[in-house]
Amino acid sequence: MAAQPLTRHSLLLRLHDAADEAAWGQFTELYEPVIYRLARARGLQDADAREVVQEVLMAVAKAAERLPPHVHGEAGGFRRWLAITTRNRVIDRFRRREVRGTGRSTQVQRLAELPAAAEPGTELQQELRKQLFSQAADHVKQQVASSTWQAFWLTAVENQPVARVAQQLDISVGNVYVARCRVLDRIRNWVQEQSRWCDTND
Amino acid sequence: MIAQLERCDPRRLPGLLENRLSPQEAAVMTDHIERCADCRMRLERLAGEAAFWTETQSVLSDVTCYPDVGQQEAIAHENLPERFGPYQVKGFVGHGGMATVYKGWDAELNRALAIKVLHPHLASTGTARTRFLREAQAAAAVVHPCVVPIFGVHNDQGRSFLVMPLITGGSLQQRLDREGSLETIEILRIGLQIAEGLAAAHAQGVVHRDIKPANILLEDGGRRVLISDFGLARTLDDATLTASGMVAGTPAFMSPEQARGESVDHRTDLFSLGAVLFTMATGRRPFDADNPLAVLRQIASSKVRSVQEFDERQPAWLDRLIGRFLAKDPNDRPHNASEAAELLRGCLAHVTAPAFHPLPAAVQSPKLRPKWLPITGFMLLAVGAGAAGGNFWGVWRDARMQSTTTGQSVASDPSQRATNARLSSPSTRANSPSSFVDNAATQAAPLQVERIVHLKPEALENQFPARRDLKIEATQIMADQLEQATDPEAW
Repeated sequence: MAAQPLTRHSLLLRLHDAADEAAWGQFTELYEPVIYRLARARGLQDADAREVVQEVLMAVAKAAERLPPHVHGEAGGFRRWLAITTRNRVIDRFRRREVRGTGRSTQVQRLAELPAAAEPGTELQQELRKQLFSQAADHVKQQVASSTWQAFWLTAVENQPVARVAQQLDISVGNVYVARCRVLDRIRNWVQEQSRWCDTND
Repeated sequence: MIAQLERCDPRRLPGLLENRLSPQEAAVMTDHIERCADCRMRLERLAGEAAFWTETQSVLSDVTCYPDVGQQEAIAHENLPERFGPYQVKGFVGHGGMATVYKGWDAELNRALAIKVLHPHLASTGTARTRFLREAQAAAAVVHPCVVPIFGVHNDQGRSFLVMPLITGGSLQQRLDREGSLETIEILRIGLQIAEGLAAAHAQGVVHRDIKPANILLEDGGRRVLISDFGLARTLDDATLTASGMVAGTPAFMSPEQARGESVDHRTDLFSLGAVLFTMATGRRPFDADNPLAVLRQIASSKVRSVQEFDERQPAWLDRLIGRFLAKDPNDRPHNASEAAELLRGCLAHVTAPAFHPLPAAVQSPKLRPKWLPITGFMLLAVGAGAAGGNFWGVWRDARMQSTTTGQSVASDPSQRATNARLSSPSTRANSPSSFVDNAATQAAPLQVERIVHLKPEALENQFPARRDLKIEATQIMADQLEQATDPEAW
């Protein structure tokens, strides 16, 4: 169940089905923050990163119907395509700033050298997984009692001792164990459900 | 130790995990988990493999979050553009899915404005821009107190923006987030204004297509309601449709025909208005699910739940009212926004003064609607008139006329026919006071009328022990009015 490939190309295929309006909402909900974080990680300011997000989403929307075959066929192909597209847009941004005279020429150079080492899709894949988990966490947090969530977060994520958390929340140690298992179970179900919904063809 | 081992019952662990055990069972199991490391391990594996626990921890402890709305606003505050076209930018108002709104200043007219700047990807193609301008122009032609007026539409260096008055009261969405569900009278008051605004727009051929609480603005301490963003949804559709063949956005307030991507007319706005009414009554959306696809499925096929499940203060007829708007088939909704406004106005009048304004027929209970209400209303009136020693004969004569007019819808009911016969025959006038009794009874148990008619007050009490009010009423009628009613000279 650990990091499985998440190409989401079946979701991508659905993007040109006119009846499937939901796919686009789902797509942007998942990818917007991912692209944003990638852009910020390259050193863009918030406003520029936002513009990049919009540009990349536009590119996806425009290209969805005529992406090169390898993008659909190959595992991780879309991810790589998206990572490269994002990177190019980020570089464009820096260039434009240069033209406007904000002067960051060194940054463009640094940037061009930076990510070449890593496989372009890997970083995006990690961000994607992160996003999926954070969505799952938001979702589950709303469904369970506050003490249940705390029991999970403090022990399973922040690694605090169970006994102390039990005392802090004024519940039994057994309750802490059960609560954190229940939360994790829901998170796992949600992540699986979302992955299946998007990746049936993987 | 042995005792503990005996209590190990792995088959119950899934139930414990998914919260399906009874509270007692769960308590016993939880107690056991606390002490039995084996079962604890089993439960943890059931929830997720070791690798998943590790991954969850590493991922969640390291989420650099996408800035939420609050943060976005803070950021947008810092990076204000200087101006848009002729307008100076003075501040930041909000950031939405389609546009960013700034507070602007019109130096020529010396007034504050709202500048709504469309996100660049929505106006990136020539067709989308043209469409945006055309839709905005159409929307600008709608002049109504309940529609946000548009002062101007501009296209400046590839950025498209609308200029509107600055409305400071926030949106209905913000109010619902703050206050939860609203009172019935407030729901109707707001709903009525939306319907009136829609009627004005529809008369100009402008369909909104994205009626939702975030697009309903409040002013004047929430007393005035304004619909914003007319025509923009169309632009949004265009921008995304031309590019990708689909519609962006949250579908929660879409009509079924819109969700299916079919062509829509003005009645799509009425469905969305119904969804807004539901949201005001309950504090939550009528169709809500984990993912947009499931929401669309619900819109197409699920019946909404009763608003009373969420807020027991709401009257039962509110479900019928909302149900009229949320009809899956557009033909089953109010025919147009004016009719919708009429319906809402009727309900509002009823809530304000129930004694003077009966509920509009369209939202009355189907059981009560055709038969009883007019007769019962009249009878109560008659009792009052009789008790006050008024012109009883006149009232009685009116009753005859009324019962003949209502008689057509009533004639199929035998017990009612009997009542009518008694009322209209002078020879049975002596019995007519008893018809007050059966009408008092009809309010609670219409089918029992025939049985009550000839019962004396004491017998009534035996027959309907739970309804002591019947006996009291009957006794009073007997005592106060029987003599008068049986003696025409006394009238």
